[in-house]
Amino acid sequence: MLFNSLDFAVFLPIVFVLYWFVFKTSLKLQNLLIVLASYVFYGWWDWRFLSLILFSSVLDYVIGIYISQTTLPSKRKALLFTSVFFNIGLLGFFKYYNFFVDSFVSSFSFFGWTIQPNTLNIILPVGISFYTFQTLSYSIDIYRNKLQPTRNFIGFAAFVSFFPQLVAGPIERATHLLPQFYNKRLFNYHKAVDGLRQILWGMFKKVVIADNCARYVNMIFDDYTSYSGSTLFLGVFLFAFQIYGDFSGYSDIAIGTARLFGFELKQNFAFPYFSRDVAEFWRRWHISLSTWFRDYVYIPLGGSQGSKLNQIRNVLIIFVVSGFWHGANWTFIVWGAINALYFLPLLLFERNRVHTDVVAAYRLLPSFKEVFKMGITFLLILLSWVFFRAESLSHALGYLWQMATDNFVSIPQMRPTYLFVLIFIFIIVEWLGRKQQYAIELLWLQYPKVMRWGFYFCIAILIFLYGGQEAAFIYFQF
Amino acid sequence: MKRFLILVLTFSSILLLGCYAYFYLADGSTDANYLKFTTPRQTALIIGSSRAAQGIQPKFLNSYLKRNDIYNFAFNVKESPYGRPYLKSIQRKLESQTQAGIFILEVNPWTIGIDSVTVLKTGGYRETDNFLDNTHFVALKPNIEYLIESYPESYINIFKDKSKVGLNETFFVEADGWLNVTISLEGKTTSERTEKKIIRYNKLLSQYSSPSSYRLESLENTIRFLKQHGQVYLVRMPIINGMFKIENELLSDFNDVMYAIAEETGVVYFNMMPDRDFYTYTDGNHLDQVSGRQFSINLAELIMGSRNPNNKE
Repeated sequence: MLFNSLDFAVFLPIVFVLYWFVFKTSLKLQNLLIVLASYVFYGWWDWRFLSLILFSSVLDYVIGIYISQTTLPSKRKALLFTSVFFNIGLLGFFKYYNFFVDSFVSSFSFFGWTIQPNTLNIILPVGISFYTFQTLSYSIDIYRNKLQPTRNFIGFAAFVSFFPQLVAGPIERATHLLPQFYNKRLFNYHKAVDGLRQILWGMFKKVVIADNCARYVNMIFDDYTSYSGSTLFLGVFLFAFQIYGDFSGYSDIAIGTARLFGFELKQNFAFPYFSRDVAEFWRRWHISLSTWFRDYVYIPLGGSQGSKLNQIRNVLIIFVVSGFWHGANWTFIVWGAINALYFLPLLLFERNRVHTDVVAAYRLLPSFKEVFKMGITFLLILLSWVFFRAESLSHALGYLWQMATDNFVSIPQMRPTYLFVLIFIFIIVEWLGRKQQYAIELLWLQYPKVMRWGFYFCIAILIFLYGGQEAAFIYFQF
Repeated sequence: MKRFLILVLTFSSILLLGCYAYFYLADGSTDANYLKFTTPRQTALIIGSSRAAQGIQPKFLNSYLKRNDIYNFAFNVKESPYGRPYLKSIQRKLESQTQAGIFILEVNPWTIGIDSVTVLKTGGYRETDNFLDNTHFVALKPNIEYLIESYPESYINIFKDKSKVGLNETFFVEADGWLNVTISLEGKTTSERTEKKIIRYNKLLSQYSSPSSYRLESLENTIRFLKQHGQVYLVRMPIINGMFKIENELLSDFNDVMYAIAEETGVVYFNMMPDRDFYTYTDGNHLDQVSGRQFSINLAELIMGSRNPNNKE
């Protein structure tokens, strides 16, 4: 089920009413409702893959208990390995099987050997990359004695399948989200209104910004040889807003929806395009994934400790793996590697934690130097987005070559003025709200109700007018 | 909680009312199909592809046949070939009590052909899950179902398109369902459009196969259904020679197939292709406004002249 669909518009109020009116007296029933609602939400797309979620839930629930019951290191390790094997195995089979087979065949054909590939027509189950990481972190945290295993299976199943963040995150840690399923939730008017506000803003990002950018991005990327360099630059510029609007919009809707049910999810995007260097960008972009990789891959590898060579190796691994997580395609691996190359100089010269605060925190406008830094960072990120969006490496390289050599300094062949205006408004609002969890969290709150409502109506009207057909979220495919 | 519910209900009610009011702006300029799902159920229909949508003008048929109820319910060859969705939609659009209706079914090799590439790729026909399939309410104004399920653009375009009516290369669906296209007929632009159309249809040749047994069966079902409600006429509309040649490559014995169906179902088939040189076209495939008018008059005369005892009076 898509957040931006009529189905969800009907589904959400029904679950909300059942949750707060029918089942409010029993925590167990509320959790059970969440599990059922989440399975309906997921099954709306394809009910067959519910078995995977159930399998993952049962597996890690049982393994968690067994890990905590044994003190024998080898047995604990074996149990953890079982969890990792099955979770990564599922992910690997559904997401990467054909990629590995194709890559294997290609590498052999490079040497002149022909192999008949045995690829399978595998459907990628939506959200598998997200919920497997969530369940994995649960087992790992128990193994590291950071978390006690739960004996409440319904609560655990609700944690794994929690519908607001099931299919595209934020990837929650058991240490943060799971305890919320143990405690009675009380309805809080201000939190609920805040949730609605965040949903509204998320919808604006997705429907108005991302979907309208997508129309032009698809045209330009699909037929890039027909366009001038400046148009191709416009294509990747719009893609930057598409991917940001799409993914951070989803996160906003997820966090807002969770808040309606009394849950707090972690911030997933912190205005990344206002970053002054790539290190800051990666602290602000898809935070739940970056921190997951940091805690479960980067730090165990040694992190930024050890020799320079080790540091370089660790950074390369984490970025490449992160890229590969996004999709079974060399384009994502190169995208990750490019970002590693951006990041490495900052790490090696110990400049990776220079910008840990919000840009121009106590000023309305940034300084010239800050604008320059943000501009350079944005351009670097744009360059890497070409690989993220392209269908293949040759597509990406062809795109970049055409962009650089064919009338880069010219008026683009496409000039969607309305979209430029919308993006401009979007940037202004995001800038004004950059210190908050989401842009309109506190915006206009000091003004009278009439003005606030007017502002929210304006956003809602823009969503209605500029929305079109339901378009799936990009991150569903990851 | 009460306060929250009041807030949500107030906000969403105002918003929904606003959206509903906005949908009243939708009209014949919204897209080439919308208006046809907002008019009342009909008693006499023109069925077929965009050739019929653009080329058969109900007001002239009505005037010559002394009627006032003929309605153009034709769409385009991609969306409305003869098949289950179109028949369903016709059944919905037809006033069920109709007894003395008149039904003009425009036919050509594409409307009874299948797009093999689509069938292979999706396992369905090219019109599966389209607006004909999805629009259950065919006489609703504003048609919220159509606008939500099938309108392919952002809703801002409903407003924007209204201001474009009458400009070159725009259209407006008239109250009688006729697709009124405004297009420059200057020699150069017409020949350019024709050239493009021929290239496009030549490409389509490789992916289409005609006739398809499914389509023929659907056409027969459509005829049989409509015959219960009045007179049915099959019409092959004229196109330029270049396009006719492509159609012949697709299905050279199209006329024989149609005569056979007409005989089997007891209806009349008018092959108006031989008159193709008497008309002018916007792109080789569609009659221009003036020719459309003439064609409609000629068709009305043929209908008046036909005396088919098999057709129900």
